[in-house]
Amino acid sequence: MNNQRLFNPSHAYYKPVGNQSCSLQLSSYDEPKVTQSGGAIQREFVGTTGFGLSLEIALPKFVVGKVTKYTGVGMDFGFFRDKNGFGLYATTKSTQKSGVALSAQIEAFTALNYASDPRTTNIDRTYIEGLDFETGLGIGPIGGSYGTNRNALNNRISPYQMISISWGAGLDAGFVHWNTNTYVTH
Amino acid sequence: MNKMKILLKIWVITSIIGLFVIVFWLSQMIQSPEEAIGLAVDNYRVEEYKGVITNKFIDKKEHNLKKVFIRENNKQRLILFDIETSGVYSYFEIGDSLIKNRGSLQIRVIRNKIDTTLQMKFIQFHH
Repeated sequence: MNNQRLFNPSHAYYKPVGNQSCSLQLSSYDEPKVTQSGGAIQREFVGTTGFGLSLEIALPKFVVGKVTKYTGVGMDFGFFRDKNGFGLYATTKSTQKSGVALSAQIEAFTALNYASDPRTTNIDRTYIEGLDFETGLGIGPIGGSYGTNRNALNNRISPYQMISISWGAGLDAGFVHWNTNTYVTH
Repeated sequence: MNKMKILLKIWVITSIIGLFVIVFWLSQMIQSPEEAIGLAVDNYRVEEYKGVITNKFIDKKEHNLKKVFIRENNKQRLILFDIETSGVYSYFEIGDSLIKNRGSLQIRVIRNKIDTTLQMKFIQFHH
């Protein structure tokens, strides 16, 4: 009975190789915890959210020339809340592509989840930690950015999508592709 | 004073226009879950590999990605099991041989002369 539960024929089957008898170590197999409606999940639209300060500067390549390989740098930091409570975050940004940005703004962000962990409706803070890509757009005193995991570029699914809106002093128009690295307190 | 009022008006107007444009832009950037999941499953399907697991872990420093490293043709290769829900990642052990053919969502796992075929399942979506 236990074998049937762990190894549903539609899910897996096993066979001995050669004349060896079959003796799987079923105890090593953790049954998936995703059991809602036959494995289906509800739409998830709740994630880690936070507020902070965003500082950015980026210049076109022809302006920077060969002085440095980076054409832009930036930093975000602040606090956030997830299902485990409050924490602090810091994101470093850099780019080697041409861009235009000059801003010091307060920002609010939220991370949207639909794929990484169907067992929960809240993204754990560790999902936003690590290397990412971010595209930023600035119009007047308002800025916005869209961040996603690098996996998305390889047709993999990103564990999250992060959007942020910022407000403050900045360049009238800006557009930058950032490489980011996010750190969070645990 | 009038100059300040004009600047304030410009600031308010550009803020409103900027907010609308950025909200519209973000709405275009966000990938629909159906599209993203379909693309990812297609990518799983075309993937092929054959090797021995040398390491596996959930990378807490990189988005909790479920990473499995295999040795294939004397090279290390990373396989991700990010949206797989049937639990194949949990089943894997270091030393297992994995065989995945192109066009299939099944993985053969050979461990101690036991040949197991696992059917991968992926998250689905309800409207």
